[in-house]
Amino acid sequence: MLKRLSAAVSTVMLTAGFGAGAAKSQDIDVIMAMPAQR
Amino acid sequence: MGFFKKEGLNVTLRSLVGVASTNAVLAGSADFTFTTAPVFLRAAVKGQPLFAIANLLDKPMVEMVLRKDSAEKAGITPNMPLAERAKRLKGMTIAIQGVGSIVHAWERYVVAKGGLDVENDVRIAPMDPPAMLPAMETKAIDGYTTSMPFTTQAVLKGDAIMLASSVTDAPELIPFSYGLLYTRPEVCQKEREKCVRMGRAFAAAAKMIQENPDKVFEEVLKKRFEKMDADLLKAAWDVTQKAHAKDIRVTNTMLDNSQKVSVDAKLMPESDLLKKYDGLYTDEFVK
Repeated sequence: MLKRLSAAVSTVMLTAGFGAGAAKSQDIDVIMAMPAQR
Repeated sequence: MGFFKKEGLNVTLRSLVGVASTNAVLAGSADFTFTTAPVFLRAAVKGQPLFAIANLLDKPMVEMVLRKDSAEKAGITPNMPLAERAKRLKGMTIAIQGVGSIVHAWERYVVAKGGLDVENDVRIAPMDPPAMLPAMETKAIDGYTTSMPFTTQAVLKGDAIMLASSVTDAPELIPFSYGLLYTRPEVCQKEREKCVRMGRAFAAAAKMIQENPDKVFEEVLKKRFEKMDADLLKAAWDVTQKAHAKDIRVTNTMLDNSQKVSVDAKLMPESDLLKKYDGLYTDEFVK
């Protein structure tokens, strides 16, 4: 039961964007290196 | 056009020359870069695997232009086969930008097509693209290799001929990975949401380019290249827009062709060719 609940909570959290990063409502900082050609 | 913002991404762009952008990702000072696949694959060969999540351009877009008087002196005419045009480059000086970049690879690919020694028969002169046309006008160089619109500019101004365009002279390289979006493998594992959002933002941009190229031209390119003649820029965009992939998933075939450039340009020995690309890319973020 606990295992199933845990899986369900994990699914909810992942769907909401909590699982592996920030929540969808939170901005994420990204540094992007671009070749200076253009 | 707000694609990053819509995904809640605060993207800081760092402009670096040639392979330096790949090195920045490898070193962890940048999360992503957007380059061609040959550098990405040579890093994997050297035991530094990266992880690609999309490919925005599936045709090579690099070109070599040559000063008209240099071409005439060497007896080069536009209707000659590429190998013949390339053979006559012996002794010339060609500007490139980053050493080891796709621009350098194309210069060497073309020189090799002419049966010349890529190390010794043609001199290279590294410089930034905006400096190339002035250097050609003062005859400091015979020609240059770079991407549009800088090549278009020289030809339309009447200063140069198109010596070799990957758009028309290299059907053997299509499909190609000319706009690969990649990061380090662990980023998509540990910070998955970054890859999810970046994939969505780039997919939206790709869709806009396919569905509304005129809007992209007016709202993005004209501002980015504000000092460039609008007609010239439009001519370059008409060609470049068609190089943008309708399907932005990475494929093995485009990576095969990207490796071919490195080998034929003698930037990588044939014995180093990767036979498979397991773990180097995914399509899960752009499905």
